[in-house]
Amino acid sequence: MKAALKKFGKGLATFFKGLGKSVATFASMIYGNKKAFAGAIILMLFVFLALFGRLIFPYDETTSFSQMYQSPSAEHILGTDGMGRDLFDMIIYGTRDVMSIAFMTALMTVGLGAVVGIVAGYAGGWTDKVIGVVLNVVMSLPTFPILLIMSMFITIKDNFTLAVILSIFSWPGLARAVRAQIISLKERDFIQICKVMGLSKAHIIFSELLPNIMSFVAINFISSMKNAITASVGMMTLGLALFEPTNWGGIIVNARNSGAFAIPAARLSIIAPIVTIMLFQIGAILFSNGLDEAFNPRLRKN
Amino acid sequence: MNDILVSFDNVTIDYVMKKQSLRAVRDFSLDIEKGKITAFVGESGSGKTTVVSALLQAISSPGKLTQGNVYFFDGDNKIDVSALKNEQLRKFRWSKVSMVFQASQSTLNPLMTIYDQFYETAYYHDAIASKEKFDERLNYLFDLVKLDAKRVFKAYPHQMSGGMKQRVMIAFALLLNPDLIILDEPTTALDVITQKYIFNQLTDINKNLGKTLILLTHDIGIVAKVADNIAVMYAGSVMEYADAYTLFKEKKHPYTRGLIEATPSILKSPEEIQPIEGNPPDIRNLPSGCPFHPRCKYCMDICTEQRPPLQKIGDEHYISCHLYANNTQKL
Repeated sequence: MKAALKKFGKGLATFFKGLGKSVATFASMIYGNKKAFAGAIILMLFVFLALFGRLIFPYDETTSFSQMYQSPSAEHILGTDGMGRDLFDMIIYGTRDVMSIAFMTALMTVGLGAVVGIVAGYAGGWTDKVIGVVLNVVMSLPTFPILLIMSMFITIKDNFTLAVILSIFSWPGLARAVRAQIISLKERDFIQICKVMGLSKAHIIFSELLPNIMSFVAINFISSMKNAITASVGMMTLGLALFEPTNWGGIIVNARNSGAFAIPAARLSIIAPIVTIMLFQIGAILFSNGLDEAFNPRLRKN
Repeated sequence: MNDILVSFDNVTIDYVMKKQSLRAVRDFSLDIEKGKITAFVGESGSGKTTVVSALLQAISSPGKLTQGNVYFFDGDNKIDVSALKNEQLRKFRWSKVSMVFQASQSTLNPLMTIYDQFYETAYYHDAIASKEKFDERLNYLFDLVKLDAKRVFKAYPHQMSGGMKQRVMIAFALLLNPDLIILDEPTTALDVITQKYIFNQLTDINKNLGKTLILLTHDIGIVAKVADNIAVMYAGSVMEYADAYTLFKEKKHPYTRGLIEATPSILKSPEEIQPIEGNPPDIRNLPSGCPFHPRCKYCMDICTEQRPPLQKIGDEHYISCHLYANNTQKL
């Protein structure tokens, strides 16, 4: 048992060593790749805003209808919304919630999906069959009606629970994809020879299999962040999550409800959050392309 | 009789499936001499790879060693390979017996540099005393297979040619200084010049380092040049075993003779090449008696009824054929 633990530790150590190395190569690669660099800058901007945005651009919650739908000015960079609040400050204020929901959802989706997928794919046999049934059951749950019914009974108040609900419905797809990749990988010669070379299971999983699906997992991480942002808006619209007026989606919903589509001066309160979401997604996509290159030496330029 | 390194004792390997099981290797008994190159020659599906993978407990699923034992002689120690478990097996593999796989070009991890792959294997076998010593050893190994160590260390597999990868794998097989190296078709997918080059290196490794090699191939021409001993395999059993000189000079077994005569030669005209008629047998449904009898020119009544035993007909010359029963009849 002790020896097995030690071996496992060894495997984990080499994995993190490899990860450290890829972080270093990644940093230098991002620098060389224009698109990935642009993506990284955009994402870092969002992270920065999420962390310090509220300090730099304090958000004034007071509503005053006399100030509604003002055009952009020096005082209000993007003008005001239907309740006279500064639109730019709202978007900045909402960044932290949006980002934390997206990040937590992606972390849980990918974490659960990858672990379950690797276990099912690598173990095979009965383990695989049982996990397969569970996956099928979860996947066949009708997401929308269930959320609708849930919204009648509960209102989610914190970001973490919202992230849990969002990821519960999205991990099985990833688990299946990872499982399929592992099954095909483990039959490849370079994995087979590892067994003949007498390398441990921990080594095979952490140092041989995991790096080979890393780019796939990373890209899924980014795309589930993207999905979580849009899905959380849906949850708020359904009334399942507490409505947050500063959430980017919340701004759009608010604008719609107060008839902003008919008022020319109010168009900015619809366009601005959409552009923000798009900006985030563009950054995420560019960055994930960079990730792909970082993890795959064949895509690297020497 | 020289020292024996590996002894196959009545090895039978079955691929167990739901409806029926395939007997890929049947009563295979053979001793591998230490310090020699022993070649297993046979057509595709004759069980060459299957029988040697028993030596590493690496028979591909659903294959199983159903009978017999494989022994490995480590000095005075007699190791029963088929009884090794977990940690013992892990230590045995690669440090006592290593293998260069068929299509070994794909046995390198595409995402790791060559240096890292060597390092990790050595690391897991606790074979690294210090980084300097390890680097020294790698430099020595790459020198041996005539690769530019500086360049190859940092390379990823996709940056190398097939011949280079093959030589990397040979260096890999030598990494932990094993006593025995199994080479499964080490030159398939390589051009003849690289082939010759690799075989020269292999004979060097055999002569200078004293490593025992087992060479699996279907090319009897290569074997003639390289091997010391030859085992001719057919349908999972040994048809004839002798040293290379005797085998080619006497070509006693009809199948051995067929193989040799079917080899194109620069001296023979194409008309003289005699192919062996027919196809290798379906191992799900082996012919009764001698598995070779439907294709044999010298087939007798007894051949269809009884399987000929492997018998000794000369000094270290074994044959499985009814023609040599009582050692009287000659072709």
